[in-house]
Amino acid sequence: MAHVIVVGSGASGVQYAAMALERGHDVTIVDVGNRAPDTVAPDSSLNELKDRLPDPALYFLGNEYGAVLYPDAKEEYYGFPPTKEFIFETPDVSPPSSSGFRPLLSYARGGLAEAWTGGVYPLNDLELSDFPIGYDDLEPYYERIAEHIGVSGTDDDLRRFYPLHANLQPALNLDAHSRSLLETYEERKSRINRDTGAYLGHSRLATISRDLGDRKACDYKGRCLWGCPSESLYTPSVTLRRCLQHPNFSYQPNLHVSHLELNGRDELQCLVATSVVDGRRCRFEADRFVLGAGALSSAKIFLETIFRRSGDIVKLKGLMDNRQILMPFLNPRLMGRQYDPESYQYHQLTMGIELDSAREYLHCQITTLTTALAHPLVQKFPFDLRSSISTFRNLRSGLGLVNINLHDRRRASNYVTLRPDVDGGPARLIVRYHPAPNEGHRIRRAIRKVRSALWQLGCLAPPGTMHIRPMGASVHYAGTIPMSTRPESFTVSSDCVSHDFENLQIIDGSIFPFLPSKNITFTLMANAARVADSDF
Amino acid sequence: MADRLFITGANGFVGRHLVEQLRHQAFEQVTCLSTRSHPDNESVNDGSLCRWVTGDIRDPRSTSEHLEGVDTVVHLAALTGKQRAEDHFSVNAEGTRILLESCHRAGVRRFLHVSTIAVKFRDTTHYPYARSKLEAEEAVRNSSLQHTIIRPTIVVSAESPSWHAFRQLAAGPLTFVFGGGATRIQPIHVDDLVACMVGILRHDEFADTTFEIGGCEQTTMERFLSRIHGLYHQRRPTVVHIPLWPTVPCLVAAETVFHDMLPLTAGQLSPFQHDSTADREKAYPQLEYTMKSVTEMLDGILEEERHGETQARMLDRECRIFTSHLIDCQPDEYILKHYRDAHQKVWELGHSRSSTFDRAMTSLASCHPLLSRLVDTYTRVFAPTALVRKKWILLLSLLEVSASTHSVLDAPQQEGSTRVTFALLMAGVRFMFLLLLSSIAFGPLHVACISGASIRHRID
Repeated sequence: MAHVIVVGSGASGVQYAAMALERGHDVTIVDVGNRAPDTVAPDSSLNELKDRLPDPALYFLGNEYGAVLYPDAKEEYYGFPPTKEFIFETPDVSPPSSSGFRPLLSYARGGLAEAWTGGVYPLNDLELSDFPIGYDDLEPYYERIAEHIGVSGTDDDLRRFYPLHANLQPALNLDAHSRSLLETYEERKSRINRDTGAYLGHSRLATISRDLGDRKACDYKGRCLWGCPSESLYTPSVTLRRCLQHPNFSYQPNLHVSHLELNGRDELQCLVATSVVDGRRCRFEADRFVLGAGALSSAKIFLETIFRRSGDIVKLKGLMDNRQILMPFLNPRLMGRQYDPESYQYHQLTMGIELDSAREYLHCQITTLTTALAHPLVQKFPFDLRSSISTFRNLRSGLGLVNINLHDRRRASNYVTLRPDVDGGPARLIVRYHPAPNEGHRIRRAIRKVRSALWQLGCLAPPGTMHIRPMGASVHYAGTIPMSTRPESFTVSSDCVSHDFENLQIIDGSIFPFLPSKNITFTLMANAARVADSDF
Repeated sequence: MADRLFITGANGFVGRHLVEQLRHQAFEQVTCLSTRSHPDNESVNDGSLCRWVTGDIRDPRSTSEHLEGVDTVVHLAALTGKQRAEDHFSVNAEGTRILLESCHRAGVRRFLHVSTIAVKFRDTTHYPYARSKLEAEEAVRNSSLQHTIIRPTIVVSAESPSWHAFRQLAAGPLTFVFGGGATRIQPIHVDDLVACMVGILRHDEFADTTFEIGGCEQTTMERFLSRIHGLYHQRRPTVVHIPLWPTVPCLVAAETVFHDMLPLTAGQLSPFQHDSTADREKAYPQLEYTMKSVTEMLDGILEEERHGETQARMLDRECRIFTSHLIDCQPDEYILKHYRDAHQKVWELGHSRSSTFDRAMTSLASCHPLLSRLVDTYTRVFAPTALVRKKWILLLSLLEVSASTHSVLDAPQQEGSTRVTFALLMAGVRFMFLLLLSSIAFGPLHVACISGASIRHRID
């Protein structure tokens, strides 16, 4: 049996490790591994936290009041709460230099999925048409992951966009607003489907509606945004904890991997990492190396490995990310009602809108804004703050937000490369992104379509409140070392084995030849389990 | 002397002063009850005898545990100011009854009840606060506890709510007096009131009596306001009398519909209609000759304002005005503490980095909630990133996560789509009107500041 080193403990890394352990391999995960803070008062609901914590402002706003968004803030619509700051804490490494792209890197134990919103959507054959694998190859692994992490959802109109796999738990309870939207859709769906191509249904979520192992079913405490206190929402740290109980598993935290070193036969021999605690340099030998550090971090390790071997600085072309548009809306039927803060806080509904083909559809996640901090939104209202607060209170129960996701394709103009330090210091990752020439048209069409669908649902999307997120914000980075059936440099095989180094596998978003509009984390996990299940 | 004390409303205006005084007294333990978490909650702070706990007098579950072993309860918790009648009765009357029952069950022996001189006003028809406090007094008298009731007159200090009200009436170019101004008052400094309370506690004076506690000097309302004006302007004031006859009935009529929008209630004008003086026969005698005279009181306050007003106090005042502007509430100590703390930590809030216009807008807005409203409207359109807006956003973020205020932001103000739509339309109309008004008021100042900055930039 082989000794495998996996770089990164994110969603794909831990699923790969879990499957490789099952197959009898020895597995080591090397990771920086920032740790999450301890859960505070796990039995309290959101408002109980405000009432009972000795210092609620410390919990909700942070010691330096970093969660307060001022009118001239450069941050986005909503920042990350203090409880999730650990996800983006950066060790002492040179940050990427970027143009047209706002890269977000995570060095957390569990990776970026520690802050995800739990959307789990399998890709269909149309979306996988550029991949050397099809839905049939992934389906057993979708089912395995669904069983392992717990996926709630139901069979509804959205089946036309994402296949129905086994091991689904019942859908979560909807809050009053989501229920109202779904009821309206059911009443008018033939017209909505015909006129706008929109289909509405329950989201598929990695949040359990039934107890699963030692994880309790969602108890609707309304604390999702600040971190699920009961682990009902799956995060990779759950799987990591399970791996840690396995005798053939070891976890090496506090290490930042810089590159891989080769032996004389062009095989990778060892991994080189630097301690983020004391700067000590370590080497780890293994039979197989697996990059699952996220597309940008994996690209940097890959590029540096090539540079140190040959002195070549290459470009990894085809960087992709989902363009996201945030569209606030108002459901007038819900105005002037008391909202229920004790409900699920991420998207409970998803809307799919067919464009020219089912492959190119708009993936819209609908969140009913309830317990998010009010001040970032209130200050956007077109009144003085006093009137805005009053208006917000009246409208709160009817407010919602659609997160529109657009697909992306690989283009040569979008790439990552390396800029070595002239003084011999650590090299820097360079990220370049140019939107597609028809990007403006795509965005306008998406906005028009979604606004029209909302109107049919009896909702208003006020003009001027939309926010087109910068590229990089969705953190669905992909396409830099894609799957390919041809053994070309800087690509991987259908089993995600590098065509440049035969004992290297890459399992994060780098390997996607096409980026559908759906969240990719579920597919990353299923694919990681699939390739770990292959013979090597 | 009482060994173990339990103070309700310990985080309020008088409560804070009392707790501060008790730190230096030889009591075994002082348990301070506050409706919201105190920064020193549940801990013995700075080695003193004070212990802060969170609870509501109306909820026996939150108080009974802390009343065990207590000898004396000092009952300061009360709802004051512009509140709805039912809320006054719920907290002041019913809350006191429930607290008395809890005390009885826990074996508390003595009860010091802080009432108000307003309970003896001849007519309290439109003053639910006074009626609710009178009901509370009766509940205390009917209880089996050894008790003392004190009725302070108008309590004054640099940070007292009544002082802010007087200042607003008298510190401007004109002095406004409701009615003829002949009603008699006997203001008492908060330190003197607290000294009386400490005296009662130290000497175990619980003989089921009622003391009326005022300062050592009586004056009329108009003379008092004129002296305040003189402090700030060193000249005799131009007094504008606002007749009570049309004002009170108008306020009474408007309260039924527009209670939340009114700047004050008819009841709050009662001190302009009735004498607020202590009966000499019921006075607490021991400290009469050490009390501050009106002149000493006013000079002390002015001295504090002119020379001793620290950054913290300015921020507290600012925070109070801004909270009143944003949600018609008063901030508690927790919010004040974080408001001050954020000004230390968040560089965006630093005055030193602000422009002349920023400073002018902040100063104007912190004078009065009505000016805040105008500044708010103007800056929303013409200076959306002004310093004062950042302060409001910070405050709003504190209000929405704090125990005492988050529920204010949670509940809708209007129910039903039709009412909300109408409220939305009214908000739009009001905003346009205020924008016009504020543009006339602040536009020239804004242009002048921008021009001045531009000239300075060129010279540099």
